[in-house]
Amino acid sequence: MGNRTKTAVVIGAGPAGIEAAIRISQAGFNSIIVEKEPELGGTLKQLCSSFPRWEDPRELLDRKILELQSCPAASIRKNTVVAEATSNGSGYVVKLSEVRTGKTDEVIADAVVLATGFELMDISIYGEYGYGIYPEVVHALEFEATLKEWKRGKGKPPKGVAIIKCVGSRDRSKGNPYCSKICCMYSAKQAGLVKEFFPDAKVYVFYMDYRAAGRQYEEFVREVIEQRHVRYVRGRPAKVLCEDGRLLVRAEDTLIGLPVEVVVDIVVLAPAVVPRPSTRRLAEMFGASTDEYGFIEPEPFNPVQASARTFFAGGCGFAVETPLALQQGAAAAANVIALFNLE
Amino acid sequence: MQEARVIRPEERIRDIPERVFLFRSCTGSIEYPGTENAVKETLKALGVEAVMDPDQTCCSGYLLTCSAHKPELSLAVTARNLAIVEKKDLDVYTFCNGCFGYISELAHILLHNPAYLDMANGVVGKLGYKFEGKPKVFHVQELWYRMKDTISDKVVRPLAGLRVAAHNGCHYVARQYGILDDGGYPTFHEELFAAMGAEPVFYKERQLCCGYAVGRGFTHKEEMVQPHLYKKLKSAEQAGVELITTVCPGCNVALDREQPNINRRYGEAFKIPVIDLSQLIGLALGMPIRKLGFAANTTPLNGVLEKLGIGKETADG
Repeated sequence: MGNRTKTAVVIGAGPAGIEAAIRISQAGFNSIIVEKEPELGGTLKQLCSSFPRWEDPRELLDRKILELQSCPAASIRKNTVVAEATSNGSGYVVKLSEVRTGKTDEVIADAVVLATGFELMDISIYGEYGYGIYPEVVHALEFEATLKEWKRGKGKPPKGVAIIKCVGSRDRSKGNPYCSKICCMYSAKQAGLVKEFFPDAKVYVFYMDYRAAGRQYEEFVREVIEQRHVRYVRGRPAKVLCEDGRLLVRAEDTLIGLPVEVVVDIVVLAPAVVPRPSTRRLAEMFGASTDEYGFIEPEPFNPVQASARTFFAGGCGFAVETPLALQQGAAAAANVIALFNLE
Repeated sequence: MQEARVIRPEERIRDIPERVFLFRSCTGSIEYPGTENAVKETLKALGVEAVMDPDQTCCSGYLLTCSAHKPELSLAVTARNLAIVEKKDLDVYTFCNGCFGYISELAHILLHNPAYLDMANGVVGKLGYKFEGKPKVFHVQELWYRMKDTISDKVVRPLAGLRVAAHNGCHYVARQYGILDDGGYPTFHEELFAAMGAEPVFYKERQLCCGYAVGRGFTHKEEMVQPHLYKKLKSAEQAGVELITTVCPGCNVALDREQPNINRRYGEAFKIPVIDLSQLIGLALGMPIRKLGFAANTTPLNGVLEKLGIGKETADG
């Protein structure tokens, strides 16, 4: 390889990818971060507030993007996707394609970091919840946009909001058997935000059980319940029906053993976190394997390594919250740096 | 990862069958003989021959629901009935969600547990039957939906302006795999109504269960089921429903026969006729009214027939 400065291609510019690109560049290597969208930030840029500290994700993202832009060794390729990759013995020749013009060029990657993120399951198969039937039934990311509007003082104030968790998660009959891990916390955040913007609104969270495993997480949910007065109802709703132009959620409160009905203006569904279809394609390109769902399968004993020169971070491996995406991005970068230094 | 829950009708029934084994239903054929007639006539109109066999018995679902006997009995009954169908080299078409659900599930158990299949064949083998697992189980509603366009073409009594609402029945829409529509928000009956010129009504409680199994099967307590049915019928009334269709004689009994009792309990005056979807299709396809057996209904159809311009004389004749 001679004295040429080694280069890592980072695919996906969410928090995990940005963090990886920053650290690789700061260690003296080149990084090329490839983002299919016109803007950096991934899913994080869509979010309003965060847990467990109610911080503005925009602030975090702006800082990280500034840091990335100030790295001379980092180049940013927006509106770009990876079209193909071929092994050149010691790494990959990666063909990049500009989304709008279709123009392609080739770069050499001595290592790759996959950070393609996750997406939400198509929940229209849950006809009982009326997604795609009633416009007021939205999924969690759509609701983040509504929350942002409300935060700016725009949009129609709601009288009631119901959040339904585990839509497609832990459901072996129609959805996925796994727990999507982040929904308990972001649902608590969303419920808490509605109460912050509209203290008189009635907010219900329907849950099987809430899983708040993390530093300050349990305290966060308790705050939402006890100080912000969000009603947590233990039970999976059976139906969402339309009644006089509003939405009626019919469920069983399994703690009191009785059927309950609440009438709200918006129903928010927390869908299962699923891998992007492109993740499987990219994994194949770079010699990595995916699990039965399409999340990247880690190598034994290295949770961020996918194949000899391919590492991964963030939601393409499984659902992650923002701090964990940053941690994994840094860990993937550490692996790339170590690999480059050893050669 | 798993079989698809909702499939296209062409996947469910690839080729329109020439002959089918029509599985008679005890509740259907005794409570509402018109349903069986309507199914047979509709099959005839669609060019499908219905084969029946007096040797066929009840699906034995009742025995399971009411825990009247060990499930092994129902497995043997299913093996026997399906052995009869298998000998004729046909598939089974039921016109009762209960028959459909029980036969499908019991056959699934037989075919996935060799010990149960041996046990069942051991029992029915003494009578000269043997089940090997060939026949597939369908409900006639699936064939109706598969042949929606043909039905639409053959309509001679358009149901113009009739406000019809569906009652789907749990034993079909709550199934896990291979059904024709999203069990959480099914619309395929409504599509059939529209294909016959009727106006489908999506009333609020259209997906509420009929309560038949709970009210008559498990508890035999009217007070368990009547509040539930009241809610359903009230919602249908408020939405201006003129006729409800079912695809399960059990549902039909619950929704039709209980109306006078509910009216007494709640001081209401519900009189929403409830008929089988096949009867509605038979009506639209021009079957003689007498053959449709509406006289078996507790809540009479008169208003509906008048609205369609079918006089009383025709109705009696």
